[in-house]
Order: sequence, then C-alpha cells, then structure tokens
Amino acid sequence: MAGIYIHVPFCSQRCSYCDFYFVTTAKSYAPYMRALQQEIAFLGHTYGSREKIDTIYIGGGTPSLLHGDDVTLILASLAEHFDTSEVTEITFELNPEDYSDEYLRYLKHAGVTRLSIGVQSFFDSDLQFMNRSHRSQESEAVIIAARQCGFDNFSVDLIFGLPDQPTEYWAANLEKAVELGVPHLSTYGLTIEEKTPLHKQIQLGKVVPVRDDEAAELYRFTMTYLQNAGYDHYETSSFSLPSYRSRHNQGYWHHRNYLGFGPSSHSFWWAGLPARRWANVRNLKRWQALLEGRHSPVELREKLDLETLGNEYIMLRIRTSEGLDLAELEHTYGLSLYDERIVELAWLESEGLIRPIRNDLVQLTDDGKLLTDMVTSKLVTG
Amino acid sequence: MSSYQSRIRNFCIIAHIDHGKSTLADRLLEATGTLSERELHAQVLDSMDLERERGITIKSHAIRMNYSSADGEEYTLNLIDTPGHVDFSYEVSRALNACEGAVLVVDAAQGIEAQTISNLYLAVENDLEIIPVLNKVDLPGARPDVVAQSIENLIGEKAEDVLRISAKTGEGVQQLLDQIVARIPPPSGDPDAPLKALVFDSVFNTYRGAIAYVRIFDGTLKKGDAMKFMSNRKEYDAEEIGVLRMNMEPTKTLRAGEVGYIIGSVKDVRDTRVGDTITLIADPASESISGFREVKPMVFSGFFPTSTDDFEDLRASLDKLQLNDASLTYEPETSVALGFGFRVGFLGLLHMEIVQERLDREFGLDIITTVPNVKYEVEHKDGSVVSVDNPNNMPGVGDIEQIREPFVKAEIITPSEYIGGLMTLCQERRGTYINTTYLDTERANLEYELPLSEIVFDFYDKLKTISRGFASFDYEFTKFRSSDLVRLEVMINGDPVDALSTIVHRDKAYEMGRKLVKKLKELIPRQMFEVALQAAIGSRVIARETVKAMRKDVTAKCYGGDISRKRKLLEKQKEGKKRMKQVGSVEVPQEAFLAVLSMND
Repeated sequence: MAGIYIHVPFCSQRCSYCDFYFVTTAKSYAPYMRALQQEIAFLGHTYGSREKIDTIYIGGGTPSLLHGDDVTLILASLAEHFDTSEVTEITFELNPEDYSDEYLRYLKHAGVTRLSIGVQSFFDSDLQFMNRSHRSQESEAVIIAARQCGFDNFSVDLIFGLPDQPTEYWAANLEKAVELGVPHLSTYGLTIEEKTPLHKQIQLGKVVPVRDDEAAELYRFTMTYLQNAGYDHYETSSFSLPSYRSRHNQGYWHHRNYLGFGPSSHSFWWAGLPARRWANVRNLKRWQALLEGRHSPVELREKLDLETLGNEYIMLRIRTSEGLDLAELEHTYGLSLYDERIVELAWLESEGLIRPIRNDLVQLTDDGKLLTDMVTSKLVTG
Repeated sequence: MSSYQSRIRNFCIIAHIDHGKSTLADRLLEATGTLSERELHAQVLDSMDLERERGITIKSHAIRMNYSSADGEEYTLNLIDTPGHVDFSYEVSRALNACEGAVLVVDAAQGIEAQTISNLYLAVENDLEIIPVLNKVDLPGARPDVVAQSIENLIGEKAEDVLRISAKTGEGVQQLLDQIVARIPPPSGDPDAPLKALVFDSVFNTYRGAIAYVRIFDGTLKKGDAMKFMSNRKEYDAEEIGVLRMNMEPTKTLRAGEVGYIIGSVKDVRDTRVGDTITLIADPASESISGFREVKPMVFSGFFPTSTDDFEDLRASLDKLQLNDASLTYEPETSVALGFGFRVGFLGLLHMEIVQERLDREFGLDIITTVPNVKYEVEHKDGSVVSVDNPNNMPGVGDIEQIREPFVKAEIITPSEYIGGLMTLCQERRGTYINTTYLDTERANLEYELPLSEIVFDFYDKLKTISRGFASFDYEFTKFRSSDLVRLEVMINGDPVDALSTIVHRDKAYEMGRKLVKKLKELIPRQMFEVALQAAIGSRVIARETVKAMRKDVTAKCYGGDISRKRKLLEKQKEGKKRMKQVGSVEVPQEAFLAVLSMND
C-alpha cells in the first residue's frame, strides 16, 4: 500500500518562518489544476497498477484556498488513475481563515476524512509575529466548526519557541488545545530556515531567537503536559489521543512508498534495489510548463543503496515511540548496530538518552528526545 | 679565455611575481627558435602545476638557447631560472653564482618590489652585470618614466637607457637579446684545470635518480669520469652528461663556462646538494667553490593526518617530496590531541604552504597543521644550550636562564602614504626601526629588525591590507637574541592541549590568551556537558571561557516527504564528525587547532 501527497503551492501571504514552496500571486488555479491532472495521469500510467493507495494527503501551501470543486476533481482524478478503493485516510490542510461550514461540509462530502488545521497559536501577538493571515478567534472557532461538521479526526499545528513569546502563552496554547479535545497535535519548535523573512530579521538583529536551553524547557514542558493529558507522544513532534495517529505521516517513517504531485513535492519508491527518491521542480510555472509539454517535472533524482536506506531507517525510526528495531534493521537492511555501534549504544544508555534495550528496540527517553539529532548521529554508520 | 667561451652567455632573470619573468622566458625561447610558438605551451619553464597556477617558480631550471646575433656570430645562451621567493633565497644565490649577468625585469606599472630588491642585491654581491628592463610598457597603467627613474636611483643605469619591452607582444625582445650578448661578459675559467662544477639545482627522476644541474667553473668533465661531491665526499661515475634544451641532450664533455646536467645513479637528492662542488677523483680541485651551506629550516609545524590510518601514507608522501626537495626536514611527533604525525621544518611560510598543498593535491592526503613556530635557542641555568623547534619541548621555567629567538632584517617597499600604518604594524610586532630610504618620489624602502616569530603568520596579510596591496616585503635572518618569552598553554576541561601551545612574548601573552579562548569558544560546538576553556602560563590561568552544554538538538519536522534533505544534513554532520579530534571527552573540530591563525577574524 502506498501514499499520495498533493502539494498545493498557493498562499494568501507569506508566513515569516516558512520555507516550503508557495506563491502568493496566482490569479487563477486553473493552469495548476490542469497540470496536476496531467501529472496524476502520468504517474498513474507507471505506478497506478503497482500498489494500492492507502492514504492521501493534500498539503501546501494552503490547500484550503482551492475551491471545493477542485478538491473533488483531484480526488476523482486520483481514483481514475490509481486504485483508491482501499484508502483509509484522506487528510486536508486547512487554514483557520478559510473555513466556513459550507466548505467543511463540502470537504466531508468529497471524501476528506481528516483535517490538519494550521492554528499555530491562540494568541494574536504570536500570529502577527509569524505573519499568519488569521486571528486568534478563528483559531478556536475552526476547531468547533470542524467537529460540528463531522470531522472528529483532525490535527492542530502549534509552534513553540517564538522569540519574545511569554512562557505562559505556550502553556495556555497547550491548555486550550487539550480543553478543546483536539485528538491530534503537531507541536513544532520554531526552526529558523535560511532564506525566510525570519532568518533575515535575525541577521539584521531585529529579532533575537530563543536560547536553546529555553527551547529545551518548552519542549520538555510540552512532553510532560501532553503525556499527562493522555496523549501518546508517538513521534518527535506528534502527539495523539488513542487511535488518532496520522497514518500518512507514519508511512514516511516506515519506508512506505509514496508519490508526490505538484511543484516541489517528493516521492519515494522502493521495489528492489536501488530504491529511488525524486523531487519535482520548485517552481509552479516550470512545473506547469513541463507537464504541458509532456515532460517530466522531476529535477532531483537519487538512488539509495541498502546502507543509505538503513541509515534513513535509523534516522526516521528513532523519532518514533516504537523506536528503532535492531532486528528489523539487521534482517531488512543488513545493518547490525550490535556489531557496529555497541559502544555508542552503551554510552547513550549510560547517559540516560535511550532506555535499556529490550526486544531489540532502541527507544529515546525524554532527555534523549531533546537530543534526537545528536543520538542519530551517534548511531548512523559510514 | 678559450674561443668557445667567448660565445657563451650565462644569465638569469630577476623579477617579482607577476612582473612577467615566465612570459619573457617564453619569448626568448621563441625568438631563438628553441621552440616554436606551437610547441610553446604557456610558460614552459614552470613545469610544476602548482608553479604555473601561482605564477611563481619554486624550483630553478635551466635552458640552453642558440642565438645568431647581429654581428653574425652564433652564441650559446644559458638561461638559468631562479625561484622568486624569499624562502628560497639560498637557492637563488647559488643560481646567481652560476651566471655572469642578470636581466632585471620590472613591471612598468607596479614598479620595484621588495623581493626584486633582495634578489638584485644578491646579484650585485655576486658581481653580475645587470640589464634592467621595463616590462608591460604596453599596459594602460604603465608609468615607465617614474619606474625608470627609480631603477636609476637603485643601480645607476641611466633612466633613458633602460630598455622598454613587452614580453606579451614581443616588443623589444630582440634588443634585449642583443644587449645580453653585448653586455654580459662571457664566462672565464680554465678547461684544463682540475674540475670545479657548481651544483645550482637538482631534481629527482624515478628512473635516473638524482640529476644535478651544474655550471662548470674550471676543468672539463667527460662522460664516464669518476667524480665526487666535495661537501660529503660521495663518489659516483658521470654516467650521462649533457646540456639542457627542451629535453636533456647528452654530450661527451662539459667544459669550463658551460651549463649542463650530470646523471650518476645518485639515489638520494640529498647527495646532490645545491651549492656543492663536483670535482674529479683522479685530479681533484684543491678547494670547493665558496658559498656552500647547509640549508636550515626556519619555520616548523606539526603535520598530522586527519585520519590516524593515514600516518604511514603521510610518511611515504613526505619521503617522496623530500626526494625533490632537500630543504624539507621532518621527524615523527606525537600529540595527545592529534595523535601520530611529523614535525616538519620549512625554509619559510610559502615553502610550508607549498608542501601542504602538494600533500593534498599529489597524494590526496588530508592533514591538520599546527600553528607554525620558529626555532628557539634555550640556555639552561647550567649554561648548556638546546635548540627547541616545538613549544611542547620547552624546558621547565625553573631551568631556563634565557630564551633566544631568531631575528630578521626586513625590507618593506611601499608607496609613502602607507608608511605610518606599516610602522605601527612593525611596532606591534616588536620591531626595531632601522631606516627609511626613498626609491623615487612615491616609494620608500622601510627597514626594520623583527623577530621572525612575529612574521611567520598573518604579517604578510596585514601588510597587504594596510597598504591596499601595494607594499611588498622581504627579509633575511640576522641573529638569535634573548627575549622575554613564555609558553602559553591551552586547557580544555583541564586537559592541556599540546597542539595549541605557543611561545609568545610575555607582554602579549594576556591578550593572546584571551583572544585564543574566545576564538575556541566559537569553534568548539556544544557538547553534552559544559566545557571550560583556559589559557595559562605555567600554572597560572590568565583567561577563561565556557562552552555551555547542549540542551536541545532535534529537527522539529521531517519536511513532508523530503527525507533526502534531513539525510544530507546528517551526512554532512557525519563528515564533520570524522574531522573531530578527541581531547579528554571533548570533541574538538580541526579548525580549533588553527584558532591562533584566525584569532583576528
């Protein structure tokens, strides 16, 4: 079973921290829709009969800028070129300012099963700082409306570690989400990516990023708070109430095949070695033009040997609560960390960063989760 | 003088980097038909890649040309190429010794530079006939009259008589050839006297062994003669002798006044030392040609392989480099921080840089080099004296009566407007002012005495910055002198880091210590625990900084499906890790070991 990701590269304005690919100047979505259907047909031709589709994720950008009919069209097009008969999850990213009861009902009707809502914060000062296009009352209202329109399964994005954000605000954000019974939370520590307005502001000295000990405290607080509220911390940034995990995202961490559509989207396909990853051009016009000219819109192609895949597995699985399965690593990827990294494993355990290994599983402690990347770098080979 | 000698001219070209020496050499080869334009692959004399890239000559070479002059006579011109850099001044002096004349090439735009002056003085000391020429007269920025005047001030050649040429277009090259024939005296020397051949260069050839380039001063060498090197009394047979054209051309004899090569199954280039005299065993010369000395390294640095597995490769590579570079010295050194490596001695900074680059390029070796230092003379309380070329071998403070360090006399040639800034620089570097002379209305020659240790790093860069690139600089060793020096140590979490020890003047130790730990703080990444950085003199800590413990290191989001990006970050990090060295439990990146070099960035 494979996943499908659709990238909708439109935004009404630019969030200061975002480095995903998007445009804010599109006058019409029609050329995008045409090219997207073209791409679905192309990839469907090659991959449509190879694997059934299990999850679909429509992200961006801001998919909720699309008209409801376009969403229907996308899903219909996928159904035409792929076997979507056994799809169990269709996630749709929604910005709070775009919601209306009518739109939500339309999505439901079109087959969307899960919403991912870009709330980010319940405070206006935070939203202004991030240059989000919604206000705090919409943050709350959209959650209530979603549930009323039949979406029990939804996720809310929240960002912590904003410069100058008072600690109480973050606590209040979590409290609000818990109080609203949000079944799935993605909490992201603010990452300062290059070539973003935020990065520029910091370089100019206009904004001072939070110190890493402050960010560490916020993350630790988040873990404790949400675990106490009954959430399962099932991946670095993902918390869910029982049975509300994101199936689609779990696919990424389990080396499941997925196909990306739209500019800048990524794909992964492993059916015999080498496995392949590829990515589309990060430019809407070029992506459209290439597809119109019946050319491939792919600009990056990678072949992955078994060791690279093994290292990916370490990097991805260490982030999950199930942890890194050393037995699976050995029999699927031919990589034995018992042989190659026994000293490091012992050290990580003595430092309290991983739990004592049981059933071949390497699992991070809360201290270890704060240092996930460091732990990863100790374990990867090569 | 024998009649064949009257038709020989041995000469060299003296020029500053970029003033056009190699281009001129190419033109001479072309004008004499030694090689056609088509064969002329740019700047043939610089046969090492590195030389061609840097536009400098590292090793000297020689080439023989035939020239039919205006008087109808056929002449043999031997162009002996000389290295252009101060690090190789001994080699230059030997090459000059092999000549009767020198062509002084000065860029008509840039004027005379310090290196040119040093080499010019050497040429004058060797009694060479100097033919000055102004090159690049066709360039827009040329100031031939001003520069010609400064040449007149320097060597007395009338400004209006100075030949003006363009090596690029070939303009004036014919006149230059005529002047070489007319002005440079032919060699003298008795072809029937006992053999005296001066080795002015030697190269190593994998199949033939060491090849000596020689100038015969007296006597005649015949193929097959039994010969010996006078400095070390090593004996060989002259299996092949010949002259140097575009290729080596074997001949039966080499006679007094001639320039050529000798191959004698000499296995080690260190047996064919530059400056040595070769004579015949059967009829030896009573004394050797004066001026020979053993070249001693002035600057030392620890060379360590980044990967400990590469130690033997590094040794093999240094062995190979030494085959062609007798002035390179090295001995094994062990560092707690960096593992097994070598203490390598160089003639100077450029020499060090060249060796470093050749290790990288020709042998693909990745190495860390420690901060260069000079050799100190340490006098113990009991009166005994030792030579110390590694800060870590400095005896304990209590045993030291005094430490002496090498001083140099430096000449700085600069447009006069930068004199103030350059004097401040020299003052900061513990310099003692000697003199200022004006070469012309715009340029001055500033003389200072400076400790060598103060110029081995970043002095040249500073000089160029202050003078906006216009000043040039040269130096020669004068003597060892007592200074108030201390060993500055650096400790990481209490562990002394031998690779970071330096010897500095007491007055500068505090500032240096402060800057050093501050720089290290920038370079050492956060670890799982707090890291204390201290600078100390003996047991006294004079500066301290702390690298706080790493508290958070986690990528929030795995970028939708963009796993490649995260993986590449990880791979990059992993590469970086490989280059880390362990000090106690602290991982220290290699750049940190060069912190002293980048302190002022």
